[in-house]
Amino acid sequence: MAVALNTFPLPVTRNKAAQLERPLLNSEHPVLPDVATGQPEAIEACLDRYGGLVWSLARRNCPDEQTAEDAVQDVFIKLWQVADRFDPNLASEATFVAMIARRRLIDLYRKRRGNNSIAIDPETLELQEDAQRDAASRAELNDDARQAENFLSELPLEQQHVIRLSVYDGLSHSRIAEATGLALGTVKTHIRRGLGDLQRRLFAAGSYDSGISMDRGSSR
Amino acid sequence: MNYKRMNSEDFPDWFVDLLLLRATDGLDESQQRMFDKFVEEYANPQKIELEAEKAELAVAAIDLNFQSSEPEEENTLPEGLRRKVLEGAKEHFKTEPVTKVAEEKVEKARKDGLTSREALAWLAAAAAVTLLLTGWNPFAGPSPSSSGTEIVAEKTAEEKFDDFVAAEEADLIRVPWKATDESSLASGEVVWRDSSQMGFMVFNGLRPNNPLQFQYQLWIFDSKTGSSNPVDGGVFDVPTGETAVIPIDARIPISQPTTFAVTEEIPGGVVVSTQEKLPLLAEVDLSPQAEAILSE
Repeated sequence: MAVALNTFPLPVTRNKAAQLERPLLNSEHPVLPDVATGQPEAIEACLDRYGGLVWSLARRNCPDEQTAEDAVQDVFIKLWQVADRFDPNLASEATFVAMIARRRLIDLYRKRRGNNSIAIDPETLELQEDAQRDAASRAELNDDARQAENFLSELPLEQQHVIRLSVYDGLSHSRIAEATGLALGTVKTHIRRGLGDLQRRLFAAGSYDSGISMDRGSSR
Repeated sequence: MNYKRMNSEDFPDWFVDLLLLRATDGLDESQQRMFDKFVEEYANPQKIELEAEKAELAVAAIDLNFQSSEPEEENTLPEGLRRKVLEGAKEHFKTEPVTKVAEEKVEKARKDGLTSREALAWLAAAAAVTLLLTGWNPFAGPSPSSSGTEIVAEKTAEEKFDDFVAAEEADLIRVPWKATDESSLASGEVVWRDSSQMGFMVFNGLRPNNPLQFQYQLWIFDSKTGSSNPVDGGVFDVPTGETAVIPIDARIPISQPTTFAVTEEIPGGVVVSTQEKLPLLAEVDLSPQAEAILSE
């Protein structure tokens, strides 16, 4: 079913996380360098800080709660293995943890869930609309996340929606094409240009400048 | 393929698509092979590694915004699960990670002023040790479990073809072969995906060749490179038997295939074909060269 892309309002609220008094995930001293050496206090602190994040990502990407529990254990084992690779110049610790979790969850479950696990109907897309609104409020959680949300909201609407469907809803490019009525090549172009632009701005805002140009001509 | 001449800022679009697909959805087996091949042949794989990680970090930063807005108590690691994770950590850290030793050697090599080549050798050694000990490889494909190395039997071309056709990506091009000689019984099909830059040829009734006398060669006409510059799709043999499944081995990335053509060439194939013997064609869109050949 094709869905008009200009029907989603942009996020408006920005203080929900503050109202919930949630801690800023990157406001504290990084724990991963100490985790890498196996310090028990650091491991506990890491769980305190990122346990909820990994649990949330796992539940969203796994078919059931038991699988999500197994995934969380797997993600943290992976995190212990690569903790010494965390580079604070490249991203915040929370973003690094989310990256490791996503990488593991994609390998384990996400790309195996097939095309049919998410129905493309108005209700699903309405949920995405809610998620967009919530996203801005939760952007208070993390500098990278806030910047990412800001940059994302500045992209052309079609690019925003395609990226949200891909990242938040985990839809394949072909499924996005089906849901939006866009050609597959256009979906890929939106993702390449949108994510490329966002990535470039995100890293230009940090210590690294992205050396790759992804915004080149439209694909077929 | 020779990407060594390419500037690192000059990744082809299809590879950028793969980088981003890897960060958002993950790569399937054929896409992973394409990715690995590019990395293997690229002059600066560290640059690719950095760009790949930056793409993943950017997507992760977006994803952080999507953390559940459920009440916080429902968004907290359950106590029982927390205990299991802590037990897992204790098990993991029982032995000192040897990767640290390798990293210290790299650091020492840098401090001692070793040449970049020597330092790179240490880095390679460190990466190898890391891979051996942790199974972590930034470019590794999907791992079915975390329980160490699994030995998987190599799939047959037929099985790979089945997987390829059944894969999720919707950009599958699937066209039947047309025999240029009306008396020929040869048939079959060609399948191709731009996204993975891979494909297969299936032949039924194409006469088997003696590789010492001649070999078959695939040519791919691409709308971007024009009708006078078909891309070499690989030299292959057709064995005796009912059906042959041959993977396509395109020498350079294909942007938009319009026609696939099979020619008979001298053993080893040719750089430019005279197309004197052209038993099969498969047209995605009827291109002028295909029209010309078929109308002869």
